[in-house]
Amino acid sequence: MSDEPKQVPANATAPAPTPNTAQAAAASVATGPASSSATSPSNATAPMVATAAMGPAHEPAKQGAAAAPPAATVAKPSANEAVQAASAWIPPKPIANDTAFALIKERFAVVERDPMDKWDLTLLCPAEQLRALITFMRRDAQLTIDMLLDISAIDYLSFPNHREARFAVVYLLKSLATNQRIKVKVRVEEEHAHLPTISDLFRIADWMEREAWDQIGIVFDGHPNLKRLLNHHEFVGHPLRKDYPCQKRQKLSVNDPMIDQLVLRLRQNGYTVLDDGGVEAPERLSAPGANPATGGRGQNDPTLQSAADGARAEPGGVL
Amino acid sequence: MVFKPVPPPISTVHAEPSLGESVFLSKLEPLINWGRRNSLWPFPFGTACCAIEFMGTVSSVFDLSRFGSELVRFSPRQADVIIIAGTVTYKQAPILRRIYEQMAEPKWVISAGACATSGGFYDCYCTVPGIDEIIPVDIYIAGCPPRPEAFIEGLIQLQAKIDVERTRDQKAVGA
Repeated sequence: MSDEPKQVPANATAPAPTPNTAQAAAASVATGPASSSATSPSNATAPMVATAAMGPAHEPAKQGAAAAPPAATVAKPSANEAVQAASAWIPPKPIANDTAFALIKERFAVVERDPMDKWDLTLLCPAEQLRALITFMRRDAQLTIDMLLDISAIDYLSFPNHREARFAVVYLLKSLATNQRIKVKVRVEEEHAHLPTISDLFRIADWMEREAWDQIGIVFDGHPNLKRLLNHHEFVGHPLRKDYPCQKRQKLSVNDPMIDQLVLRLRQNGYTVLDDGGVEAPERLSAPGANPATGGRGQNDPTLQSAADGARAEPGGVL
Repeated sequence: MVFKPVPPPISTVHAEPSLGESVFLSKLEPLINWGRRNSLWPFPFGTACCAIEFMGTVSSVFDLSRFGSELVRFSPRQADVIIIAGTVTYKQAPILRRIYEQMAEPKWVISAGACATSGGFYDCYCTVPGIDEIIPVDIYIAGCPPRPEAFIEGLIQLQAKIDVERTRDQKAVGA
């Protein structure tokens, strides 16, 4: 972050290193995009729009300085300064953990904070509230949790001084807009290792839940195709459980053709899978003159013509 | 590494002076073994870092083709020796077994490295503890991964083994 005078490139039109260096230092000390307006106004104004649209997570102090006009004596911007101006954009900061927790606690009284939490906000949630909690966090305008990073399951069997349920499933969630990260931990009893699926809320959860079922043995109710993901389909047991004998040998013979996965994908795309294994294309693809590469639209389709003219074809209809 | 000298081939080939030294006499078995040992086409079953070393072995610096193992075939039906270079998991075991069964007789197996030979040095729920649980192995190569010199040494050892093979000891196809 420190700016050294020798890093300023030699510029024939720059009279002395002093003014140039002062501006470059101001841009690199992260005072926001405003200070770099001397180099390129378009670079400086674009992040301002972004921060204003990101909601209340930001102090509005930066907006005042944005209008400073470029001085007439400033030399033309060098490549290095342009890079600095572009990198001066600071992503919006996440709201504080306490604020986020208060937001959630207001809606979900049963949700607790994990006392073992060290870094990010970790919520303890009962299984029946899980889907509602994740849906709320996803739709809330301040949290905007829109990404599922991972689902991991924990076996506390050999954990010292552990008195809670044997398993826990942890959902790692993130907001792409504010970089807020929230963990949701759900405790699962060994006798009833069931959780509701969230694969309809986040499609990536499909495989993550399959992995948690495969390795630890958590059943996700409502999952479209809950089968083993990593291990062979003839594998017996759940190998990441602490009581699985790791030197146990498995006898596996027939490979999985994974046709069921293909059938699911075909049905998602509108195909009809027949009993004899045949596949019927949807109507938009089986019509005469339909071109599968364009999602079933024929050559004389006006939307394709307009696309050829440079206009944007309407989305949708593509496999 | 103790280098074990390769025994000379049991060569009974000699020129017959009474026929003008233009005719060579031999037994059939050494002749067949001579042909087999000097044209071992390998099939690389490479799953891990050992396969990288095998690539170095067949490349120009080490040049495995000096020993007759010239053509790396990626179809088991065209290969004489399968080189298992890397970890074999339980999930992959049926695949390896099937590839081995697709090879035509006579066929040999080289197990390269710690993983293929013994399952590696970790206790793992998913790794086969040695591929000789699944298929018969002729030569084990030590190392993690073995250097290209070790690969060449393994191939020379296999050639020495082929030299002393006898046709009547070979098992029937599919047995």
